[in-house]
Amino acid sequence: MNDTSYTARQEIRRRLQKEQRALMWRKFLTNKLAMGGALITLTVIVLALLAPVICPEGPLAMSVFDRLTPPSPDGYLFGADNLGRSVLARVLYGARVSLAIGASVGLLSMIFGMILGLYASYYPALDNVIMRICDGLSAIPSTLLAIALMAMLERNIGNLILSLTIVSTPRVARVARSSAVVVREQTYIEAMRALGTSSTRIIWGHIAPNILSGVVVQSSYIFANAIITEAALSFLGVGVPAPDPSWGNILYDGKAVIHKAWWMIVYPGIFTAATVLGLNIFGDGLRDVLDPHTN
Amino acid sequence: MKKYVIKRILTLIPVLLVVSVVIFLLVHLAPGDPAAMMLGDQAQDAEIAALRERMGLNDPLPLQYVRWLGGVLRGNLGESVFIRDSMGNILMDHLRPTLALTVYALFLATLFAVPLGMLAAKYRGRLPDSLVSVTSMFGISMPSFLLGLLLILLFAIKWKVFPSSGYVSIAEGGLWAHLRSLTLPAIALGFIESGLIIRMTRSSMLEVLESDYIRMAKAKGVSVRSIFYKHALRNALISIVTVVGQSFMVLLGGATVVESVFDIPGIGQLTINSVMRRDYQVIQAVVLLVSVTNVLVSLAVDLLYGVIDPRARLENREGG
Amino acid sequence: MKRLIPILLALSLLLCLTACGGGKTETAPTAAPSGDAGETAADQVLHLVPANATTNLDILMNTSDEASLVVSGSVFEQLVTVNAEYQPIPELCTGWDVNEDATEYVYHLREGVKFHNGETMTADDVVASMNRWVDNVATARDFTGGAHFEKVDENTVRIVMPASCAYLNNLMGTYANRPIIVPASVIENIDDTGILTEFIGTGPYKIAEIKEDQFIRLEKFEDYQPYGTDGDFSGWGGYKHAYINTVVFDLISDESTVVSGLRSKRFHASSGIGYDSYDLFASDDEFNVTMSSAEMPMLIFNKAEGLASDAAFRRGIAAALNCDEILYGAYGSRDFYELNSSYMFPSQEAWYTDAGSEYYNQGDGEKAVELLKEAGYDFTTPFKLLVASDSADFYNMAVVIKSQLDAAGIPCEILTYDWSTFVQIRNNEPENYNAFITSFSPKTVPSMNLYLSSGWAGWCTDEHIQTELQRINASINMEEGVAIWRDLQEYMWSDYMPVVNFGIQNVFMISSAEVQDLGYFERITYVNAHF
Repeated sequence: MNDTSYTARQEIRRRLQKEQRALMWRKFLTNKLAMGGALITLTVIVLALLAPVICPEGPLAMSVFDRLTPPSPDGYLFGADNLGRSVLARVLYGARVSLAIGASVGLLSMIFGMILGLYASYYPALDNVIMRICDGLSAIPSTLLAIALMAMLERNIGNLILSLTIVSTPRVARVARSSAVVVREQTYIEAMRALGTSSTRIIWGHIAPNILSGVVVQSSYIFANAIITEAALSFLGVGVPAPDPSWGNILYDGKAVIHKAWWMIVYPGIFTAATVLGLNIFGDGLRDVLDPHTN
Repeated sequence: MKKYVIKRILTLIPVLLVVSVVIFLLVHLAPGDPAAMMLGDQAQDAEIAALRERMGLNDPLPLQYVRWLGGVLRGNLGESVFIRDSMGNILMDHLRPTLALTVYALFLATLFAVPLGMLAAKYRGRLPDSLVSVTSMFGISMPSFLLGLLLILLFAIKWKVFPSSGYVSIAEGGLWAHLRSLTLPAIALGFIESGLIIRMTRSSMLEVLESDYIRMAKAKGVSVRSIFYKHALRNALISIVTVVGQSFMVLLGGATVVESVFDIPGIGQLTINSVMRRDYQVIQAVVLLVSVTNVLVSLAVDLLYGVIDPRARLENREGG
Repeated sequence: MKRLIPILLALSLLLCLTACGGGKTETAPTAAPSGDAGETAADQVLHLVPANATTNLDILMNTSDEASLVVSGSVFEQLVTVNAEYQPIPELCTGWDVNEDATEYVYHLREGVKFHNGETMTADDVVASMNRWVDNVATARDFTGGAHFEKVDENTVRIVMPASCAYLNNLMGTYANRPIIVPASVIENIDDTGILTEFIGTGPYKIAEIKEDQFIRLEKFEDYQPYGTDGDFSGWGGYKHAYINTVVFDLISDESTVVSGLRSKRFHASSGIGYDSYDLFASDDEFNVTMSSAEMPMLIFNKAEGLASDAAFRRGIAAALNCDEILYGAYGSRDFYELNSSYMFPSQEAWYTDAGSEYYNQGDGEKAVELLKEAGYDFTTPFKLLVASDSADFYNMAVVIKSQLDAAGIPCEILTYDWSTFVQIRNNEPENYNAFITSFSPKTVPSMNLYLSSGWAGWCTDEHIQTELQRINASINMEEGVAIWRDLQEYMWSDYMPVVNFGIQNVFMISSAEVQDLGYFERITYVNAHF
C-alpha cells in the first residue's frame, strides 16, 4: 500500500461518489412525485417568508370593531377573525410558526434518534436500556403524551418543540437502529473493529452515512406529523401560546364562531392540509429515490 | 418457540415500568393543584392549603409513586377525587362511546378502502390507480380534527343533515340517532386510516397476483375474475386484516382530538378533562390502560407472526 | 370473500354491543315517579345546561357558579337568602332580631322543616352548619370576628360578635361560599377533605343521581315545606312550587353541542351560550332570551410584587386602557356590555356611585407613557398579564389589552395557562406575573368584594382600604357606610388603583318557549318553572 495508490483510490472513490450524487439528483428531479411535493411545500415556505411583504401590518394588528368581517377582495382577503385581525396575515405568519416547529422537530428528532439508534446498535448493553425506554414512550399514544407534557411545561414554542421531539424521537431511533444493526454486521465493519479502529470513527464515519437515507425519509414524515400534532395541541388549547398565530390557534379561535365565520376554518385548514400533503408526497418521492428496495 | 414467547413477555416488564414512571412523573410534576380546583375560583389561600394537607398531596413523590404502583399491582387503579364512582365504572363509561366511535370509523374505513385498493390493484398503473393513490395520499395527510371541522361546516351548518356535535347513546335516542351522532366523527377519524388500508390492500393484492401459483392458475385457464376475487383477495386478506387490527389501536389513540371536536364523552375527553382539573388518579389509570392495551396488542401481533412465519422470530431475536 | 363476512359480522356485532351497552348507565330518565299521577306536564323532564361541569355540589366549599346553579335554593337552603333587590329575606327562619350595635343576631327557625333523609331540622343542625361556614370561610370569619353560632333553644340560634357587624345577613345571602343548612349527622361524617359526601338539604329538590361529566338528576322532594306566599318568589327566595318532578343538568362542555341541543329541544335552557350564538336564538319565536347584568370583568393588579406593586405604575397602565374595545373584543356587540366605572352594580342603588369615573376608560396611550415615565418605568421590562386559556372572553380581553399597550409602546406579555396552572400561579407565584383578568358577580356590601381582600390573589393589603372596609362593616347607619364607600371608590380610581373595572357584562339565558317562569337572577332559577 503505497501513497500513490492510496490517493488514486481516493480519487476514484470521490469521482464515483460524485457520479452517484449526480445520478441521484437527476433521479430526484425526474421523480414527479418528489418534485410535486417539494413544489407544494416550497410554495408554502415562500408565502411564509413573504408574510411581512404581503401583510405589513403583522398578525397582531387589530381593529376590534371589524370583527368577523367576511372575506372580500378589497377588504380583508381572507376575512377578519373574532378580534378584528386579518386572517390572511395570521395564516401566513402562522405558517412561519407551524413550519418552524415542524422543521425543528423533524431535525431534532433526526439527530437524537440517530444518536440513540446508532449507539444502541453498537453497544448491546445500551441497546436494552435505550430501546425499552423508546418502547415505553411509544406505548403511550402520542397525542396523550404530548398533552401531558405540555400540561407539565410552561406553554411556549420551545417547550412545544421539546414535547413533540420527545414524542417522535423513539420512532427515528427504531428506524436508525434497525438499519444500523444490518450495517454493523457487514464484514468490513467487523474487519475495522478487528483492526482496532475507534468506535466513534466506525459509528460516525461508516455506519452513520449508510443509514442516513432511511432516517432522512423518516424525518420528512415526522416533519409532516409534527405540523399535525402542533395544530391539534393548539386546537386543544395547550399548544402555541396566544396571541402568536399558528394554524392550530386560528382553528381554535374559529371553532367558537364556526356558525358565523367559515373563513376562520377553511383558510388555515387549506394551508395545513396542503403543507402536510406536500411533505408526505415529498417523503414518498424521497424514499423512492434514496431507497429503491422498499416499496 | 416457548423460549421466544417467554423472552418476549419478559421484555414487557421494563417497558411497562418505564410507562408507569413516565406517567406518574408527568402527572405529578405538572403545576396546578387539584385542591384549588375543588374549591372553585373564589376560594382563599388558607382554605386551599388546608385541603392540600388533608388530601395527602404534601407527601414526598417517591412515596406517592410506590403507593400508587402497589395499588395498581393489586388491581386497584386508585380513586378519583372529583368523580364519586369506582375507577372501573369511570373507565367503562367513557370507553363505550370511544369504542363505538372507533369500531364505526374502522368499519367505514374498511368499507371504503378495501374496494378502492382492489380497484387500484386491478388497474395497476392506469388512471384508476393514480386516482386511488391521490385519494389515499389525501387521507394520510388530512388531520382528523381538521376534516371534522370541515365536515361540520358542510354537513351540519350548511346542509344541516347531521348534528354538529354531541353524542346520543342508543338508549337515549335509538340506533338511528346513535349512528347519526357518530357518523361525522367516524368519517373524520376513519379517513386517515382508509389511506393506509388502501395502500396495504393494493400492495398485498399485487404481491399475490404476481406470485407463482397465481401465474400457474392463469396458465391453467382459470378465469381472471375468479383469480382476482377467489384466490388473490383471499390470500391478501391476511395482511389486510393485520393492518386493520393495528389501525384499531391507532384510531383509539387518535380519537382524543376528534372527541373534543364533536364533544363525545369518551376516553379522550375524560383524559383532557382530568388533565385540566388535575385528577391525578384518573389520568394515570387511563394512560396506563391504553398503554398496556397497546403493548399487549403489539405482543399478540408479534407472537402471531412468529407462529405464521418462523423467519420473523429469528429477525426479531436479532432486532431485539 | 367468505372470510370477509365473519369479520364484518363481528365488527357490526361489536358496534351494537358497545352501543347498546351505553343504555345501562347513560340513560337520562324520560319519565319520573310522580305523586301527581296523570299530570303529564309535571312528568316532563326539564333539561338544563350549566356553563361548565362540576359535581362537587358542596357549595359551602365550592365557590363555582355552576354548582350553585344546580343546588343553591333548590337542593340546599340557607337561614337567609336575598330577593331580586339584593335585600336579605328569611328562608329557613321566620325572622331575626339584631341588637342596637349589631353585635348580636338571633334567628327564629321555621318549625317542621324536613331534610331529604327524613330528619327534622333542629337548632343543632343549624348551629353545626353555620359554624362549618364560619370555620371554613375566611371572609365569614373576618365578618364575625371569629365568633360562633350557638343554640338558644330548639327553635332559636344566635351569634354574639366582638365588634359591630351590620351586614352579616347580606354576607349570608350572597357570598360565594354559601352557608347551606345540612343535618348535623351529615357534617359528622365528612371525611378529611372537609367536603360533603352526601348532598342532603331541605330544598324542594333532592339529588337522585350524579354521573360525572354527563348529568346530574334531581327529583322533587315530596315533603318539602314551602315558605312565604304563593307568587312572592323574587331573586333567590320566596314560595317554591317545584312543579316539575325531574330536573336534569346535562354537563356539556362544548358550546356547539349546547347550541344544537337547544335547537333540537334536547335541552330547555342554558346560560352558557357564547355571544356569537346569540343571533341564532334572538330572532326565533320558539326561544326566549332573558338578559341580565351579572358580572364585572376586571384587570386585577398583583400588588404584592413586581412592576404593579407601585401604584403610580398601575395608574399608568389604567390610563392606556380603552374599555370599550376590550369589551367589544370579548363580547362582540354593544348589546352585551355596558360601560360603567362604579364598583357596585346599578341595581344596588344605595351603593352605586360614579366617584372617580374620570379615570375610567381613558384609552390615552400618551398619558399612560407620561405617567409610567414619572413612575420610573424602563419600558423594556414586559408587563406580564396572566390569563387562563379555558376562558375565551378573558383571553380575548388580554389580547386586546396587549395590542393597546403595544400600540402605546408599553411591552406586554400574555401568559396563558390551563385553568389549574393559572390558579396555581395566580395564588402562589406573585413573582411571575403583574396582573390577571377575572370577573365578579354583584355583592351587596363593598367589603364582600373578593378583589379588595388581602388574602386573595392580587393581595389588596393597603391599610387605608382595609380600615375603611372595616368601618363600612361596622357602620350601623347605612348612609354613613355609603359615604365612606364613595370616598373609598374615589381613592381606588384616583390613587391606589387595585384593579381596573372594564364595565358590566350582560349575560343571557336562552330558554325554550315551552318552559314558563324560569327565573334568571345571576343564574337560572328553576324552582317555579313549568311546561
